[in-house]
Amino acid sequence: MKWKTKSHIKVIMILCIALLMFDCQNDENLPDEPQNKIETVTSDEAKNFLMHSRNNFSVKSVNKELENLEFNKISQEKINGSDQLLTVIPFASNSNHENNRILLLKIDNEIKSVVFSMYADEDSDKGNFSGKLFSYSLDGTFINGFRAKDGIIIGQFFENSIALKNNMENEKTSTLTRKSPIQLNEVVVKGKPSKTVDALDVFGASGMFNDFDSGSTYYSWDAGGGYAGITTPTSMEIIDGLTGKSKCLNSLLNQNGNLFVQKLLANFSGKSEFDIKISSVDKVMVKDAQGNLIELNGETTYTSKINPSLINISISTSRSNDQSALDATRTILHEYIHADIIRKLYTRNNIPEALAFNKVYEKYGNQHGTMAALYLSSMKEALKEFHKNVLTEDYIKYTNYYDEAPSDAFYEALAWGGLKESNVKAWEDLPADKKAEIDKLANRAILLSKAAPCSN
Amino acid sequence: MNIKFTLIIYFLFFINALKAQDKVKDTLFFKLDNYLYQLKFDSKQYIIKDNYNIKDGAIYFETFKIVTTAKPKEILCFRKYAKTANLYMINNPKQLNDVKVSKLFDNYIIILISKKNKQTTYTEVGPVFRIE
Repeated sequence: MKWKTKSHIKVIMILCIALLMFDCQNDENLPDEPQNKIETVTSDEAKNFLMHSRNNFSVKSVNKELENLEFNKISQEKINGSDQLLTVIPFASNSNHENNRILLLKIDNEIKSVVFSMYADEDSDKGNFSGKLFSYSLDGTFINGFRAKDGIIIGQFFENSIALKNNMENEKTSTLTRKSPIQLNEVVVKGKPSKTVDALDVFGASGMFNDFDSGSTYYSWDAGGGYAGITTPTSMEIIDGLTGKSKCLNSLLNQNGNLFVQKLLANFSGKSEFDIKISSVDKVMVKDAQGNLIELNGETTYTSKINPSLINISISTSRSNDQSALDATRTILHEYIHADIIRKLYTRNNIPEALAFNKVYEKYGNQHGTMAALYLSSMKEALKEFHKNVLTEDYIKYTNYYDEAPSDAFYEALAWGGLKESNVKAWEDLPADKKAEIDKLANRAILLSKAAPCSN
Repeated sequence: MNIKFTLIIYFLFFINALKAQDKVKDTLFFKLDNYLYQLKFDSKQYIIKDNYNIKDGAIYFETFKIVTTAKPKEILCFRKYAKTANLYMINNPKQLNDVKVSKLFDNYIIILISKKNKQTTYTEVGPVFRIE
């Protein structure tokens, strides 16, 4: 009897250990060392590269398809395993069944571009993509192809050179995204199925399935933005409810913001943990505890219990119309940074970065203190580049009026807007003369142009 | 062998029952006082003293619904509870850490108890963070 009890205890203990091990098991092997050096292609670099490519193609059909690109919907998406971003430009002709996008990435200092096509099966649903994925060079040469079922890659396509040759001779044309999978041989993927595509493999720069089996480093892309698997591509999950001037400036910031802005907004793209809803309201009014009415430029609200994945931003139309275009842009950026801080603090992913950021937040005491200490320099650079490259007319007027180009100190003074009023530590630590200089420079923003450079 | 098998089955049921229990949220009842109180100018908001400055970041409770419930076994004082649960900023004993408040209270049903004219109202609320 004693022996039997011991044996039962052993069985239960083994069961407990097994259960614990299942609970703690991690699905993904984290990468060790990257294979190739990859870098983000900025929006401007992407546009220049594609314009240059257009001029170099002799085939008219290719040029015509490149004209079909929606540069205003250019986005930069996360590459898992790297802090660099994949630049993505969709085609205007995209439908529910066929989605074509140009992907750009600098690999070993050279800009690489491919056309990435997704053909959905009839039973494909939005959450879990079923269908075929192909990457082609800009001249239409097949690079790689995969088959996905319910968001998971289950097969890979290889070129059938004989069929391909015959087809090319018959068609006599080379166009983007045109090679039918009939010309390809398909193999079933063995081993661990993948929920993402290898970002380098799409460009033909690495061997996808070797990486998964060995557990060595790979850069993966969600090809539609899913943590749970490949999804039908969706646009950036920043719900734009803005109107008028704010809408114009926000859309310019989304399209032409510098790398800092693009990286920040990429955190909310696709099937991210958090989405942003940014809306215009006539006036953002709040009452303080004493009942005094206060008007704000904008505000960010997060109600974790009602909608844990949505961060709401309200932008005051009345204030925005009153401000210079650059200052109104600063307000939008300021609120986006609040959203980014909320994303970092409130994430439900128990990652070391989140714990570390919570400690930083404690150190600076509040969001404005954290923004002043960690984001001010990036805000300054973002405003500087936006002024020079997007509000160019205004930039030239400033230069002519003051007989000097706007200094870094001017943009820093602008970035302090909404922060210095909170008397954050970084502001209090500044010497009095520096504070006076910032206030003086910030007043120059009043003279800047209020008009936003949108035609309607 | 049969006993062993039965034990394993019992054990699995036990684990399952434990996991199922985890999913039911407990309820915390808080009384209103001069630290946690209804905002005069917006009856749907319940604010916490020293933590309602939207310019610096406010954390407050918003009404979800009025509920009917059995008399609570324990009614808590928010100030004491927040201190015990370490919900304040390390460098500022008056300021609540909005992240800690939200993350903790997301795991509970929060009910605020107000008494007016001998009538008790139970209001289910949730935390809101708001900043300029």
